[in-house]
Amino acid sequence: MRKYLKEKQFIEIWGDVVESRHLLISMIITTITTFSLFSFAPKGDRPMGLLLGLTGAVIGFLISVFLIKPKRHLIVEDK
Amino acid sequence: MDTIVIMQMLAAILIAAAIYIFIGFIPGTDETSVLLPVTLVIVLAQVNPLVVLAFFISAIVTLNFTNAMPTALAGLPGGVLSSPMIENAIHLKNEGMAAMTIKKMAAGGLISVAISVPLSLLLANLLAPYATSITPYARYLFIGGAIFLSLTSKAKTLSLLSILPLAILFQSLRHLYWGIGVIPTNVNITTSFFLAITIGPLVHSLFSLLNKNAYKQMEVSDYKTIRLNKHDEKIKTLNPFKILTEKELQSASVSALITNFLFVLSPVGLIILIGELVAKRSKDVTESAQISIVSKAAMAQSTYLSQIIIPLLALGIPLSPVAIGPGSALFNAPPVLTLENNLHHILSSSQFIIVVLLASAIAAAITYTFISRFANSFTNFILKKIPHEAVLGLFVAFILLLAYMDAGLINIFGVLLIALISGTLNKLGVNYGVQFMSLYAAPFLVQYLL
Repeated sequence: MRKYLKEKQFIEIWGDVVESRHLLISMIITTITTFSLFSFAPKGDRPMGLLLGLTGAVIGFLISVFLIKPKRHLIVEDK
Repeated sequence: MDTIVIMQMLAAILIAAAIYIFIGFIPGTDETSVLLPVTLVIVLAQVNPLVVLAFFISAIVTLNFTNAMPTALAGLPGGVLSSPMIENAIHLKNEGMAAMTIKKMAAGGLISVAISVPLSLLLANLLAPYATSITPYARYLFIGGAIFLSLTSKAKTLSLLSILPLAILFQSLRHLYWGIGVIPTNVNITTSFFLAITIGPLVHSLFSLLNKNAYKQMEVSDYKTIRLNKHDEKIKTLNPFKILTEKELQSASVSALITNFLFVLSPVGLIILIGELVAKRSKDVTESAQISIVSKAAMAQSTYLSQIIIPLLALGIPLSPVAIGPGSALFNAPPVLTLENNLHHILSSSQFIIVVLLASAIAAAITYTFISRFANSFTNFILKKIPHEAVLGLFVAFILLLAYMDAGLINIFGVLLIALISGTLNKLGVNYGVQFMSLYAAPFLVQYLL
């Protein structure tokens, strides 16, 4: 595991390429933001919990989008 | 319906269109994972059922249009339903016809919406008188459905053999939770179990990363190279009848028509089956790919629309793969909606018909226009800006949240267990349909084993 985290390793998962470190970072960030916001919901208030949790997930997603570069080479062809 | 409700419905339709245009363009966003949690929030927030229905219909129409875009333009599946389109899409893209393909797919989808909405409303009305005689047999229909879907899948024996073990898996977790008291015995966990099945293949892949040999197999040396065709300005018309050739129009219309009647079967299965049949209408490889992909895009709409409209309007029990999966919150979202009191029971037929017509027409018009104008530049933007890592991170967070909310910390590991097993079965050929049906039939199946 430690070895994977040191050097750049690209893997293909679900039809697209990711870097394993970045994938781990994104999952950690999004999980933290999701549960942080969720914890603000009053206990037993399911809709509020879900709403805050999803908002947290979207915030985590946006942070990941900001921090991580897509692993795609785009070539625009003139055919 | 008073003015305030109508305004809310219009707002819901527009918001759904805006959200799902964005999501649809992102490759790899699984339909169930992006539709179910959001619908659940709206239902649980006790939003007016008319508004909920408007939102959901607009969401599925929009999503099925936009999921075709990364597929045609980048060769990356927009969602689960787009995976059977990949081969055609890549062929057409290599021929430099991607811009044409998206217009054709959108036109096929539009025609399909125009056919499927009235047809499935009609079918629902024809079926409704028999609802009271069908509903008591729902449990047998779920069991029958699991068996039927197994027999029509590629891995017949394996699928049949996995029904009972899966049922035992679901029931054993439920009984464990009841036994140790994390949830009351009158609550049946379903939402997080559904998502566990949906996310199974992803969890399986993520766990494979922790195995050295499996990791090596998934390793690649470089970024993914994606070739995009330069925007083609030649096709200016928005008229679907001018965009499609006669053969494409016929194939798309007939495919849409047939799939409405087959609303209990898995959408992906139908798309693969009928998509391959219509492809045989032409010997020319490119023409055949075009006919096939247009019909597949049409069926993405027709399967989703009929599979939500018919069970919801006619029966009130989730008797189709879409109703069981992405649309399940409209049938069963305790404490707000239950199988005895859901949108079917709350809304009158005329309310239902008006909302469905309104939502599908507005969503189709908005998305069709958007795609025809901006598909190229928007795909480019998404591929440049949105990393795959962020999408996968979002899914993982979703599932953790819903698992935790259903039954606390222990359920995170329960969901992980289901995801690992169903992901493994999925890779071996047991499709989602069989697994979802087994989940619904689980309580009855286990009783028969006593």
